[in-house]
Amino acid sequence: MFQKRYLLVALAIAGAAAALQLTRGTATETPTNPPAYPPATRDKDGLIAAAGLVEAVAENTLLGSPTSGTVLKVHVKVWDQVKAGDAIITLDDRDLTAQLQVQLASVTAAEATAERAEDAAQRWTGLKDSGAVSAGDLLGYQVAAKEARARVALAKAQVAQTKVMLDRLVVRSPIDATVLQVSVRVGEFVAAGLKAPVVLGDISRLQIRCDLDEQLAPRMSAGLSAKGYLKGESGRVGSESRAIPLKFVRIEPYVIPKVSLTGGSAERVDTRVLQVIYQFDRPSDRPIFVGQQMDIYIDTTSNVPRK
Amino acid sequence: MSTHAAQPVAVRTHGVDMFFGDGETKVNALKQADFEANRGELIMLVGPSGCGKTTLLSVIAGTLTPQTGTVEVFGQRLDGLSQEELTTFRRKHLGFVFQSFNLIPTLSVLENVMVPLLIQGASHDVAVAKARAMLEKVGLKGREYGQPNALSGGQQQRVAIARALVHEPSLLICDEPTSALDKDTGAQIMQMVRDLSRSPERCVVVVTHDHRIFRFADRIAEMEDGRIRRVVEDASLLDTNHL
Amino acid sequence: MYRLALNMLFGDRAKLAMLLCGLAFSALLMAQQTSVFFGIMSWTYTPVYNIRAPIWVSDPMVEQANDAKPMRDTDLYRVRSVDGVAWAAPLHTSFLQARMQDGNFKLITMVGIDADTFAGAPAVLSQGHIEDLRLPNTVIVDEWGAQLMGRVTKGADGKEVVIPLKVGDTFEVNDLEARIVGICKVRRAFTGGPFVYTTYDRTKQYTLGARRTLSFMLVEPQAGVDPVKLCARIEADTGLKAWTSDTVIWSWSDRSLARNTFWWFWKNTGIPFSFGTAVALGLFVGIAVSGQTFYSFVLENLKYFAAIKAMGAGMGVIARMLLVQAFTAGLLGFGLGVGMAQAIGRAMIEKGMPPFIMFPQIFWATLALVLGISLVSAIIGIIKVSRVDAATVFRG
Repeated sequence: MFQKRYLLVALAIAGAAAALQLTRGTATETPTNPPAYPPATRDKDGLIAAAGLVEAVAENTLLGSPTSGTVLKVHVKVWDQVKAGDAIITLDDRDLTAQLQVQLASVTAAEATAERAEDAAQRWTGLKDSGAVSAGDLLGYQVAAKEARARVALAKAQVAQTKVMLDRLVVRSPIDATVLQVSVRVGEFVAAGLKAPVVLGDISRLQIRCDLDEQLAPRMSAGLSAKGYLKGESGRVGSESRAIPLKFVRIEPYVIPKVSLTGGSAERVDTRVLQVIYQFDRPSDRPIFVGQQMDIYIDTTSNVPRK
Repeated sequence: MSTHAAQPVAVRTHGVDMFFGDGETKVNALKQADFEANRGELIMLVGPSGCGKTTLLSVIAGTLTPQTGTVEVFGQRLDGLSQEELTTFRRKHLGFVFQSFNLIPTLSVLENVMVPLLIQGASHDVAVAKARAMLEKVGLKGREYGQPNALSGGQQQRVAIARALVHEPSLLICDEPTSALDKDTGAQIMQMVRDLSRSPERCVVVVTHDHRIFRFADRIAEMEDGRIRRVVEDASLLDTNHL
Repeated sequence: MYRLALNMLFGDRAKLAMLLCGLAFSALLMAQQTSVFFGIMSWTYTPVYNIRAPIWVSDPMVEQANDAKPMRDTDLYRVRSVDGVAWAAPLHTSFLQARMQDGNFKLITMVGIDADTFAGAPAVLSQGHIEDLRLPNTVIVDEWGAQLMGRVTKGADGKEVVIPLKVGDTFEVNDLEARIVGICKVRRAFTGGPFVYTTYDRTKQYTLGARRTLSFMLVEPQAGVDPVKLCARIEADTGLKAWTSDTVIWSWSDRSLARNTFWWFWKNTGIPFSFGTAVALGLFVGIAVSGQTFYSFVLENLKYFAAIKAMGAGMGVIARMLLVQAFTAGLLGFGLGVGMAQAIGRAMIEKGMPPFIMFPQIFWATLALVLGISLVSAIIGIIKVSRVDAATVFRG
């Protein structure tokens, strides 16, 4: 009987102990698990964060076409290095070429007419004193020759005009640059000034355009140093070693409506951002592409005086 | 056996009135009850049902306090004592044998006998030793760890006697000790009470209406209607017919 | 005397069994019912539990974790600009309809996590890899969702069998394909259906280009920075609301998102009332049963206590004897009861249904209640014994 009593007591104690243990198990603290890839971590105070977009130093040239027309030939592909004046795309020139032929023919015709009129005028001018021609007729021959010469000049001018127009159908690079994007194919129609079919940029040096929320703008000042972290790089490189040191270039004087940087096509403007430009040297250990996003931390405690 | 009247008085009540309730339902249980019992004697309180003998017993035992009158037990006045003082008094001086034994069924025989000692504050080991000895005296050696309910009525009452005497009280109170027992067992029990309680300093008061055990008494006090009618030394003097 | 009191208690096995059964049953009822109640209520703050981060930042008008009032994307950078913040990641949550391959629709909770770091990703994947979430049109669903959205077919015996979704299965959200690349283990939610994780950027597609998708921001404080203080600083600097992610619903802190969610549901929905009445009934039944059994135990022993009292035991001793008995029975009953409750609880936790959370508070409250019941019964017993006339023992 005594043993049974102790069994009961032991059972009760065991029950209570198990329950107490279970109360510990139903944790009241949320277990946190660190992100699978370590995010860019702030290590000091006085930092302000911004979203950055990598672009070419000279800013990217959105090359447009001066005229509308169908694309006849695309001379470049992305990554091509082009010199100033190099042809980039050629638009359809068949109508102008045909017109040129007609105009060239009319130059020839006009020259023939002018030759004949000149010849007549010279001849009758030589016979002026012989009285074989009246003064009025002679003047008539001379004016006709002058008129024929003018017609030749006109026809030549027309040819020249067509040649210029033909030349405008070839879109040329205004700068030495790398072709960053070609968004037009042969046979497509390009409207004048509407869409940039080709993007050119000098990517030998890259810069970062940072969008700083206007509410953070008061904390920004010229000359602050910054660090950038490329998106999608977390985990591949250690958090510190992947920081890219940035050099201050300038603050854009005009606060603009925010443009989406997060990739959402339907994102609309609902705040304004101060844009700040930073420059950096290409790191040797990894490629960086124009258009990549970066998380930027600007160090407001590093007030380096501007050069 | 019948000549202890000269001994000093052990219990004395004088002019005790006791009533319960009031108004219409007022019951006068004791009316000027005068009672005396001496040291060393076994006195029986007899009388018809409702004559007040249990009430008088309660008054003597200090479990009831009378409205008027004096109660003196072993030189100690009980009237005027507080409940705590009465409790202490009972603990020290009284032993009880109840009509229905009142053994605690969930305790062993030994533990039942230990109760008065433990109430007095004795250590567990001392209580065990004394209770064992007492049980041996009442002839229940070997039954210490049994349950009271496993015993016969006579055995249970022996346990009750052991419990009543284990702490050697001056006054032993027995309330109808044999009413639940047959004739022979009753006689055995009374013999045991006589044998074990016999001591020059101890007074035994037995309430009963079992005339078969009158012969064990030194004196018999007959009660009627709340008072002592007479005290006799020989049971044969009583008219037992109306008891 | 106390030893005898215990022996009195343990002596009668049948009565002891009844007494302990009553007490244990009521302890079981109280602990188990309240645990299930709080388990169900804890589903209200499931997002805080499933999406793990030390600090959550939301729109200032947000009241609870299921309440998404999206912010501007640039707010993320403002939070990142607060001193003491180690990092901040965007989080999207919304309730959407998923269209199954059989044409059925199911409500889901879509969670968009930062694709760069996977901050807020489920802790345990039972199938697949988190990196696969970077592939186009991919999602990770929880096990409950896999089951809920599974295909129902007739088995060989004619019974309906659910074939749960697995890696490679697809469904549609707003006509966009969602391909499953992982199954995760997370806690069930009270509202909004199973959790479907995708990347933050992709949620803009699935929500059909909702104007704003930044429902919450997950923030990690720098090492050594107190989260509560950081919350205050984030609020001061940005005007947004910052919450701690602890799930201590008993705290006084109004920073805890889980606590606020819990009490928000408590105040604003009928759920606590409807579930709570069942719990309260359980409590009442428990109190009544154990009180009744203990009281009858005292009554049965009243006669013997009266005898002990007549024999000269003071009320103090008797009271202590009764208290010893009451508390012993109470503690034993409690131990057995919560023992059973925790056994049932463990089985439930194993199955995941119904939810079961035994807070330490439930444990201690049950103990207090059972001991309280025992105490009250003992006090009633003590009063009874003190009132009982010692003289009654002479009357058979």
